[in-house]
Amino acid sequence: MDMKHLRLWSLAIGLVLLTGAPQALAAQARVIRGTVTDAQTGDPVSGAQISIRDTGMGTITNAQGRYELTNVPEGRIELRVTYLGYSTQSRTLTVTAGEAQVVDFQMAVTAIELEELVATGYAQQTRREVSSAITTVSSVDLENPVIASLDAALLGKAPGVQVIQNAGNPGNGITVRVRGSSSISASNQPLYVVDGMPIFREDFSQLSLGGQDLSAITGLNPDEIASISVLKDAAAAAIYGSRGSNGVILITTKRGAITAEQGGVSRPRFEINTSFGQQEPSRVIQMLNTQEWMDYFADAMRTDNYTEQEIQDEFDWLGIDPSIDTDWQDEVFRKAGISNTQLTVSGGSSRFKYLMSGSFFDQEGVVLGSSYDRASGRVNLDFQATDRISVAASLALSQEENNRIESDNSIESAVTNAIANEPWAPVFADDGTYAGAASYANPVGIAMLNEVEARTIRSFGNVSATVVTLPWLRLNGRVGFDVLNLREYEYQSSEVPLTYSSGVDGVAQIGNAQGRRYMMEAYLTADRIFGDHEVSVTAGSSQETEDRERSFVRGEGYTSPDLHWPANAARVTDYDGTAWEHNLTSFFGRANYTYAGRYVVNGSVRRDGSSRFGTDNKYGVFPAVSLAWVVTNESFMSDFDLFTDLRIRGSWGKTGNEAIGDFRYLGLFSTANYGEIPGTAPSNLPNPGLKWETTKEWNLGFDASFLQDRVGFVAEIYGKETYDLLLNRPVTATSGFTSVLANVGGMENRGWELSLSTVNFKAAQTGGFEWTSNFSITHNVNEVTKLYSSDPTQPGEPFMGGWYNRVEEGQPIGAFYMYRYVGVDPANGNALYADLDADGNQIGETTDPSSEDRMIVGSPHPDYFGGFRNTVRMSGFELTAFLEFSRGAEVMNAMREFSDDGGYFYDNKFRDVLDDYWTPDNPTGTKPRPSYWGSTGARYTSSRWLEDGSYYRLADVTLGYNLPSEVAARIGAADARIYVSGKNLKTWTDYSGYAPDLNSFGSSAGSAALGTDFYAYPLARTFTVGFKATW
Amino acid sequence: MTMTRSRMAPALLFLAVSLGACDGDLLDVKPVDEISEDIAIVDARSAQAALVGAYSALQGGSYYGGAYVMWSETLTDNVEHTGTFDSYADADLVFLRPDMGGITGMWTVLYDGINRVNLLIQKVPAITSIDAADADAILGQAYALRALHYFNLVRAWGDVPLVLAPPATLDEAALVSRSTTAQVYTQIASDLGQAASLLSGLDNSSRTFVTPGFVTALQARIALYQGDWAGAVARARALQATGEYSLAGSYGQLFTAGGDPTSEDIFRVAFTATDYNNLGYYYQYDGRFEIGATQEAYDLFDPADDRFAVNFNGVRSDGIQVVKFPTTIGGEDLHVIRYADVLLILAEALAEQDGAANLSEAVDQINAIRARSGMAGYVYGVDLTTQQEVLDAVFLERRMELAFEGEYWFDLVRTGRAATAIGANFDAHEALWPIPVSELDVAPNLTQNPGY
Repeated sequence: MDMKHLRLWSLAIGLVLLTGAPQALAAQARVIRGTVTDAQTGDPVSGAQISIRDTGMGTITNAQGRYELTNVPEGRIELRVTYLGYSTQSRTLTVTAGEAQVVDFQMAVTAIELEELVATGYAQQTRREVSSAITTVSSVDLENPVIASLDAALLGKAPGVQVIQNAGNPGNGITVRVRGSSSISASNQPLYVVDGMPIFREDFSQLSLGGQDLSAITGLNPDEIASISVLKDAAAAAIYGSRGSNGVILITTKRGAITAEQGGVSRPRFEINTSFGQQEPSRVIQMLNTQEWMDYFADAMRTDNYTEQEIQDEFDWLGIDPSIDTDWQDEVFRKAGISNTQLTVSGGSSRFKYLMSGSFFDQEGVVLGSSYDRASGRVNLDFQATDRISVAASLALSQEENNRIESDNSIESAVTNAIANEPWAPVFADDGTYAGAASYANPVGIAMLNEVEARTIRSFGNVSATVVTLPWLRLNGRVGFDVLNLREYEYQSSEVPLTYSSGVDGVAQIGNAQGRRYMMEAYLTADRIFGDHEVSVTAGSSQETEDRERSFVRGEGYTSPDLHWPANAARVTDYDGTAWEHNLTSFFGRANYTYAGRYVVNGSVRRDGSSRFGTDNKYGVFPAVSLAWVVTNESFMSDFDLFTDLRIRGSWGKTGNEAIGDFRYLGLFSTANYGEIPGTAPSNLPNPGLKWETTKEWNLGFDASFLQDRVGFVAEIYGKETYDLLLNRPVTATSGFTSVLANVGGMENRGWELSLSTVNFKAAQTGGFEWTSNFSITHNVNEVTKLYSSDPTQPGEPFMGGWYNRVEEGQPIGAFYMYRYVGVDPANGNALYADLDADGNQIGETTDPSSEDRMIVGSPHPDYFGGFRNTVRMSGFELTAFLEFSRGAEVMNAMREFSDDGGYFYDNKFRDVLDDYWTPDNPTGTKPRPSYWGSTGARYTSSRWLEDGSYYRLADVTLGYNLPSEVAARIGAADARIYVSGKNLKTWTDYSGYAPDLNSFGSSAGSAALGTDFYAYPLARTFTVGFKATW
Repeated sequence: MTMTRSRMAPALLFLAVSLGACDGDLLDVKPVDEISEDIAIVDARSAQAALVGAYSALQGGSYYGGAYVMWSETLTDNVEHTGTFDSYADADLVFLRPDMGGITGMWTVLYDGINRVNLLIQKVPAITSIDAADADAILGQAYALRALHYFNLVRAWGDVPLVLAPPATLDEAALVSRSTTAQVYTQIASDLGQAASLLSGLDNSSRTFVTPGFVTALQARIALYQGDWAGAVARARALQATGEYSLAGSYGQLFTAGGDPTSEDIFRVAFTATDYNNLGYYYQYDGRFEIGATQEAYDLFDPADDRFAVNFNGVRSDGIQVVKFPTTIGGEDLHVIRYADVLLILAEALAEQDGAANLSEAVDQINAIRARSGMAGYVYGVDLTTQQEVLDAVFLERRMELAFEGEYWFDLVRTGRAATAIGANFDAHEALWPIPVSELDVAPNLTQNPGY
């Protein structure tokens, strides 16, 4: 941050504090007290949150359901009570000096919380006031996720949000798509904002470890989260302007609340939550054993006319020992431990509230050599400095250590080679070293001897101040930061035969990457009510500066496996050391108008200037408007008490995608050395017009809540059009370049989302039987609408965006493009493929397809996905089952390139290759003839390897028991809970690999490279037991 | 109170506005590890850096650092495909198509190299602060490199676009069209002529930068390609006359792991462990063993020939390993042209001119090459008598002496021997490679070579 701005800010905050200070003296005792009870049973509700809206003041009820608030500000206030599973209530009252008021609440069990506060970016609105598409996920949905990263915890929980785990590596990068992909070349990941501070999402890693990557999101402990708001449509996300196109995930962390006083001081509240358990691979792929391998290859040779003697000679030449039968997966998989412990201390008075938490999450991987742990701490403070000035601080600190292994998309990987290596090769050679008898390097050796250690130190947070200058006008200021340091070290042992490293006496590399981001923002919020007219206006500006730095060195050639840091290298083979900056400066404003609680109009606009935009387009403007009609508040509805809420919403907005890379608009020269002499050469063609990608989206929403809030229903339908997509416009190579980046592409997403929450069975009294359900489903259709074309009257040029994924107009991004397999030629057992003419029409079948016969054969995008949660409570027991599902996506099982190729490669085969293959004796076989020479066409990349990726997954079953309070009291606890949990218990799918929701291109690779499983790390099935108690 | 508050609000408001407004500096961010093209070539130092950058193009994985050298061997009966890359599998089968990534890559890197020198040729004369001698040295090297790039283009693709200045706009660039092979050779001759005169003040001591000796050697090679036998002889003799070059003491000295210089070097491309060539990695069992020697190439050599052990080490069922490029690291400098090549050019050009004196001297030159590797010479009039016999012997010696160095395909095509050597996989039209289809798409005036 530059010093000038820093000083300006210190000055401003100081001024704010000073001007407000005298007002503290003017405060007089104003007290509100009351009792909160269950409306049905009359029992007291303890632990309910009482708060005064927009002040940060609040408390929680005691065991008798009582509460008391002192020093309440004068004037009109809104008092609200919230408790999980009950519908939030609020009461507006006028507070006058010296007066004590009694306000009691009777709370009803509910499916949907209408008065729930929804974070919308620079403000909160009640659910009723929201007119755009925003989904909230509460901490209950995130409780005890036993998962490294919060994005994985969102899986199946927010309609419209697709979460792809990519692989089971502990701590790997997760792919998140809010309402489909909206970019081809720029990032597709949403913006993450924690307590008002946009944080890093990117992968800082400098090591390439096959398919998977890291993500800065793992630095945020999911246990610290109180709630998540997902801004889905453009109207909601437009307040974040040029970063809103991929949706915005607003995260609010847990904060302290007022606790009962004890001896004149407020008593701290301690919470401990600890769990531990065990994981195992959720699935093992059935491979051939040695005898089956030999039988299959013998058949492959027979169909190529080998004599029995020649077959035996071939086996002898390969050195097969039939007595060896190695189960390679069994060798690299293990049962792995997992644990998570969190300790939270919170509490406070009406003036000062605090929450401090520390946690340690520790996960071994189910594949040898991999593990992840994170120690994290948080301090959240709220300080009511004066009646009119409040200050809040939110600080997070974490340290991660990720022991990674090379997994998918690599031929030197433990997972790849556990599938690919022949069963007749031993793990160990006679001398006890790792054997290299198989086709590929020994996966056990790779897992045990190679080291990859990624250590992250992360801190982010912000300090904010709010000044109530007039009763209806607030000034807000915030200074935030995010600092990340990633140190990575890798040693590829020279002791694993058949690896690159063994040929160069070892490879070691070390990298340091650092990112720093600072934000300053100031905005005004005005709230006024004139009779039936409620107006709220927010306007302000912000500045974000970001700089990043990295250094890296790779050395080869080590004298011994014990000396293997880059300092010991014989020669440096790669290095890096650079820094870059990225800044953003913005104005934003929002107006919200409500008439008689019936008609809601929201409008917002943001103007972003970014250092990434070309000189001709430095600033982008992103407007939005949305409307809601609250039907239940109409007078004609007063006779219908069926509905407690009925709302119709409509919105339109424009957002941008600023993640287009730095300095792409400049004409540049970069380093081009020759020998040991430094030189320069042209590196980038200028494009001063380069700008953000733009998304326009409309949304229609319908909300209903009926049968005394026992049924809640939300439906959304939307259309999203993205244009000015960045694409490389090809230019003639005779210019010295092959392409220039330009805003030329287009894409569309259309879809709908439904969610239904029900209280199926309502308890008649406390502890009675209660059953609630939540169901959500999402449908999204993606289509690439425009690509670059040299002739504007012609369709754009399609291209491959992954090994198998096509980017083509009229198709969803990443559609699978390959030969279409049509069956087996009964005459000779050869594979038959669709034969296409120049226009792509099928004209017959061929055993010898050419590249022109490739066609679109499927899509990696699901037709539907969602989740279904059921919770049953009785007598202190709570049983939750969460089912997650996805239908209609296809997965390219790219492992079949080598494991179902008919016997051309020596790789071990999936066991299903044995089922009904063609031989002269089985001419009706449904699989092509195996062929040692690969002459049957079975090894061509085709739709034969494309599998249905639909699945249902029992993602979580948790049984908890709340100890009776008298039992809890015996350990001095206010409440205590024990629970057992199973994650990833069962997946129902036809997919034959480890899991259908894997992608070996990871989360930060090109957005078109989807749905490709090339030896991805398996998902773990996890069993945990846990204990949670508060004092 | 009210007063303070009413002053406070505008103050904060001002702050809010200033945050969004004082952004001029913030948004004007430049990279630290790249520089603007406007200041890239403005003085002696930056021009020198851009010249080094122009040499850097030679290191490309599609150029001397890899494909251009290996691909042109894989097309022939010297090398066969043993690995997994389609591009090399297709090269082995001489299955050439306009959409091949390998061909596009070579075309692209060659024009990238041309653009780098075109920038120098355009900008250096306008720099006033540079010494005339320095400017001459930079420009002379730039012209020589441009000639080398165009020669490498024309011998592979025939008619190619002659781009002699950086295109002012992309629209202008899209208008390129092909010049005839003769026009390209005329330009090459002109560039080499310029280079020779601009570099006349330089000595021949450098092995990895352009020297007057390299210009002469390249002129000799080009004369051979154009059938200008007298010219080739004259250039080769001119190089001999400098007395600065001689055959290295042993063949092995030319291909050491350290890439050590020898008296035979005329021009090598410099590589380091970080800016490495792919040859050893592609040829060796310890590397990716993408390509290996054919049995036929292996059988050409007498095991007593010093060149045998330098070229080969290991015969396995999956192929024969070439170890001429001795490390998988690829940090050693590779030869673009060396003195043995010039002697063979001399021998061939003499033999082409026929006559006993010429043939006899041609045989002497072959024998010099053979003697260095411990092989007995031919006796003119006994072992070799006719012009054709001598030409065949020169060709065989060239194939052996320069094996795997990237010249063999072009020698086959140049001498009309490709069909015989390669066999049925070779179609006459494949003597010229296809123009990349990606070029035809964006430059409508370009035409394809016949047969594709």
